[in-house]
Amino acid sequence: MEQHFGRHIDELEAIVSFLDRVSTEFGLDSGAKFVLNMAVEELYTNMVKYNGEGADDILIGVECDQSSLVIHLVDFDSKPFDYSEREEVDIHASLHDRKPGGLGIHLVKRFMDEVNYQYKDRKTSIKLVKFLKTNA
Amino acid sequence: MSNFSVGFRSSGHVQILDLKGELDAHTASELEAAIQKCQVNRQVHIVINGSSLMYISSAGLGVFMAYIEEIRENGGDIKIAALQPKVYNVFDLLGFPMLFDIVDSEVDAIGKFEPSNA
Repeated sequence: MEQHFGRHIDELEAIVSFLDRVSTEFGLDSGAKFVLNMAVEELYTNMVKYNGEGADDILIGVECDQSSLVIHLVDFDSKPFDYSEREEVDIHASLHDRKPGGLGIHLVKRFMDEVNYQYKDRKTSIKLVKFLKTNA
Repeated sequence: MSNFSVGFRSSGHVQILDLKGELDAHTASELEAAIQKCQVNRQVHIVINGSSLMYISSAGLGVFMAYIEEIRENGGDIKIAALQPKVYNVFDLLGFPMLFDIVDSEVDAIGKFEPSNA
């Protein structure tokens, strides 16, 4: 399932509705749904925040089978920004020593099992994979 | 992520904020407004009751980070109580238990403001 969304934070409401439909369609449990919402929100808001002037919509796609949840986010008109190489957040730092930003990417890396980033001809493609627990 | 509300209650000198729903980049401004309202009313002893908070993203956590230093400088604090396990996990992954008092119940959180526990 996939859908295009505009480049504005107000689109989150429509994105949530889309992710609700995705979760129902794939029968995701509450844990997988939480991870899906988290990963999509964090990366989409980063795309909007750091590339608000991009011309095109952002594509969000989700695939799911018994073993894995796969999320795609594609920004067709973007600057390079490799999420996977962003500096790690020091979660042991005191309040005073904390640097702003980076919390969302940190969460995505912790919640997802794979984060793949590609950039070519102004097109950013991010593929996230979460391996699902099975009862087998 | 599309529905979120903040309820206001008080217990003595403690202002309790009941968070309900999903706290994300779209709704974080509502929590921000609630904390600002507390500051305007000089209520700096704040308990966040998270028993009905079902989702939080980094934008929601960022609100706590944005206001905590100022509130502490004014002699207050934000205590966080009764988080759902999935929501607590987000706080934990970002090291927030080191920065905030996060306790199991609202009663425990209010107790943290008693002079002997402050």
